[in-house]
Amino acid sequence: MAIWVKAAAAAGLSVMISSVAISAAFAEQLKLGVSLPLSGPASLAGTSIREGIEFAVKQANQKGGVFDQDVKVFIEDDEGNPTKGVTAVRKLIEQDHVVGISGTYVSAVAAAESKVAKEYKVPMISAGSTSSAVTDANTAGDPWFFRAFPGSRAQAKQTASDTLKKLNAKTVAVLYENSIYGKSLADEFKSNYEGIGGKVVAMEAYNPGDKDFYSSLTNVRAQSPSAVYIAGLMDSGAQIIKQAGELGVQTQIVGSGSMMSDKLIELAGPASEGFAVSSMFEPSTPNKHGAEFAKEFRAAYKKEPDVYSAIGFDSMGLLIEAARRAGKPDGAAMQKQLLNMPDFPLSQGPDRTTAKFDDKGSVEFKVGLAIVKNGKREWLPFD
Amino acid sequence: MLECKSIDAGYGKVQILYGLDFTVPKGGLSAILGGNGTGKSTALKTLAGLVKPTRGEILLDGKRIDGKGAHAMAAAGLCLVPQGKEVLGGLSVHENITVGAYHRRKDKPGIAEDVEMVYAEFPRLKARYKAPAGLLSGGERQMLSLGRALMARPSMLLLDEPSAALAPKVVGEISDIIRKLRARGLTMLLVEQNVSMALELADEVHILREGRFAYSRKNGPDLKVEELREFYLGKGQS
Amino acid sequence: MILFQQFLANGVVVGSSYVLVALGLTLIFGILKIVNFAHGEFYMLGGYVAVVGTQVLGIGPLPSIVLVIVVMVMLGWFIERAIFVPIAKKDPTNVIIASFGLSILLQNIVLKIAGPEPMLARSGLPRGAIQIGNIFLTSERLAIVALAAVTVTALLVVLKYTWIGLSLRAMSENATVARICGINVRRVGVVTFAIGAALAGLAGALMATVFTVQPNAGSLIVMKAFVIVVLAGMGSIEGAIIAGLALGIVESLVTGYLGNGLRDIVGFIFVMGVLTIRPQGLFGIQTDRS
Repeated sequence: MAIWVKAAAAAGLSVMISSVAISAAFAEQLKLGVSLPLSGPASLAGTSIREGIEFAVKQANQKGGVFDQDVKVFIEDDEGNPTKGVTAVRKLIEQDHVVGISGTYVSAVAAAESKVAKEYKVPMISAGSTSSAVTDANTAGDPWFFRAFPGSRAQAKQTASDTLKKLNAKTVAVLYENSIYGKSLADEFKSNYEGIGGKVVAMEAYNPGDKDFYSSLTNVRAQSPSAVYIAGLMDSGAQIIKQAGELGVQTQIVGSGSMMSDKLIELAGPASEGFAVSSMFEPSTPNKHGAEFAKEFRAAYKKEPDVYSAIGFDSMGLLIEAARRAGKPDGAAMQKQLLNMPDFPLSQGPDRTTAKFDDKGSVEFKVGLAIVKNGKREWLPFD
Repeated sequence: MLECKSIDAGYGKVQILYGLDFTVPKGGLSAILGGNGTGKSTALKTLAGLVKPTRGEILLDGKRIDGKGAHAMAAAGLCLVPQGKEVLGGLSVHENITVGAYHRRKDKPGIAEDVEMVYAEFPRLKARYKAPAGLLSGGERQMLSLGRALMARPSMLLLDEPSAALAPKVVGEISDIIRKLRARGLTMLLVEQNVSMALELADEVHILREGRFAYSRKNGPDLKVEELREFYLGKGQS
Repeated sequence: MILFQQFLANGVVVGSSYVLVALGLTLIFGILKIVNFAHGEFYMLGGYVAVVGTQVLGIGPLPSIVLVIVVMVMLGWFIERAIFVPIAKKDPTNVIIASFGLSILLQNIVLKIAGPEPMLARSGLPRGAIQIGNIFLTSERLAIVALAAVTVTALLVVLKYTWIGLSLRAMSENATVARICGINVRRVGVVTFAIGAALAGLAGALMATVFTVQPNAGSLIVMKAFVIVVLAGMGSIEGAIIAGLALGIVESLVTGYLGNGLRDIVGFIFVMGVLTIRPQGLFGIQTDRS
């Protein structure tokens, strides 16, 4: 074991030395990495986030790139699996010599990957992972994992208050995915919701990728809560909404941020009418920078952007800007710049939202609420 | 009539049989004797088409049957009667018998007739026709194997150690059945370890040792049992 | 009691799909002695063929089911001939690894063609719940149970009363005896694979009308089908039917009374318990083979 560790350390060291040598030899091309679930259950979001990321790179390169060269991006598929994710990040850093990574979407994978990136002093910016636990693990004042939108704690707090006040639901049954993402949202929702006077009548976990919720929903129906809160991914969410309709569960359903997707409305069908979801970005956003992004994205891809493309766009845009400000492709220098970019506009959140990272690497802004009406999400104004 | 002409056979690169040459005349009954590891079961598998010979020819009633594969043998008229333990344990007695007629499955009336014939021959099977074959006694299983083979309407039977693991009284019963079948004109080759059973039934006896016939004699007053036993036990020289 | 009835009904719906998948798996294992890890992908492909039939070609649910069966029979036929037979000739143990590889290959091909998004096959049946007593079900769910019951009955009749069925069962019991009776191993092999693939594909198609289909839709159900096959006794047809329904119902009850998180492990716990007491499985007959 000890020998193995030494060998690994030696190998790591030699890689670092060679990476320094290489970046000195080829003057200054900016190489950035991407880790996303491009296959597996989370790949629907993953592919959408990738479009946002690629759009940010395309935009930067059209404006002449960074350090007078095109930005080069290496994309790895982590399959939403922590082991694969760690392998992907190691490959990006050790073989492709990237100096910053945009990734990833699944919180458990992000948690594992962030440890590797920190070890190599390569800053990472979340490409959708929400769990506050990952930024909480950062050393205050020296974060290596950033998230350019509020974490699960803030999102759950906002949803708890929206559910009680805007939707007028006094009792809630919580269905959550048994993962870091689902569990952190569910726990934080419960404590916040009960803190402001609501009552959680049931907490029910399900496995990622589950599709049959008749038995869980039968229990929910028996307790007749005034709302159901789902903390999980889109595919299970769509099934819960649809099956709740079939079983005659007559309640308001509220979903976590992953369910801001048109695909959900398509899969759940008419049952999605009235479904409420916490939302950080819609193409109709009042955020001027976000609206600009939506317009350009629409022109380039001939389709509407969604929250995923916005997340990818912000995440990659931040890395490129940090490198430009640092003046050289160097992870440590970029990390320092990221902590000092309160002027950089984000496409998510209310108007004038900027990348004002706190000392744990998180950005706080108001999370909105959208409600499905006539087969389309309608954004309630930020309160 | 079964004719084997200089048969070599084996598994992969390992050769087991060396130049087996013999004939079983129509209506005759020959026996191949040998202990474990002499090539006895390979000889049987080769004749039944389960192992392809690497050299030589096998002819049944003048037609080549080697190389056709085991499933073509039943239609050619040659039927292996495996040891009693080899039954279709989860299938009923009735199904075990019926499946023997697989190669002539379109002949509905003929099959019904033959099933009655087998039940008439083996009343104990009729009594248990619904039972899973796996629950039969050793003697009953041997009868079942014989009955199944008869359903193919064969001209030749290969009998694989019909006396194996049976009580002496049951061995006697099986011997009686073999004699009865022979009287109907079936040609038979008996592969056995049981010397006295072979001598009691066969016209001609071959002893297999290390993949070759070490001894072949017509059965009759001239055959000296002592001499045969010596070859069987591996002491004699020919 | 009202809850119990609903849990039971839910379990029967899911159990029906388990039965169809496990039946194909147990046939292939019992007859060809092949542990087919790609069986879940037959399920997944059936779902996609149903999507193609109902959404792309727009040929309606019943013709789509016929399409699923035809495509899956041909696919099972092709895979047996082109992949499993040549590999088994060289070394039968490699077949397990080949089936693993095939599983990954099929998933990735579908991912490339169809993308990761879940897709829904259109059943054309009226939406909304049907209430029977205290039980809520949709017409799609009822159709799953009814079609599974029809299919299983048809399969049992074929196995019990036809020569094809007899040859399959004979081959499953003892390949040597089957061959000397004149049964062609290679033909039985192809027929078995074709039937197994069609059963799994049918299950996938039916489930795709309710639960959608994704490239990895077969990964979990194949593990459950293995649990059912082992639980029932390798190769036992009747056992697979009972164990499949039982697993669906037990999972539903566990979800209802103990929580959803335990659902996917209850089968594995069950199988370990049963195997320590009855190594031959619940319905395997231990016949004397010495």
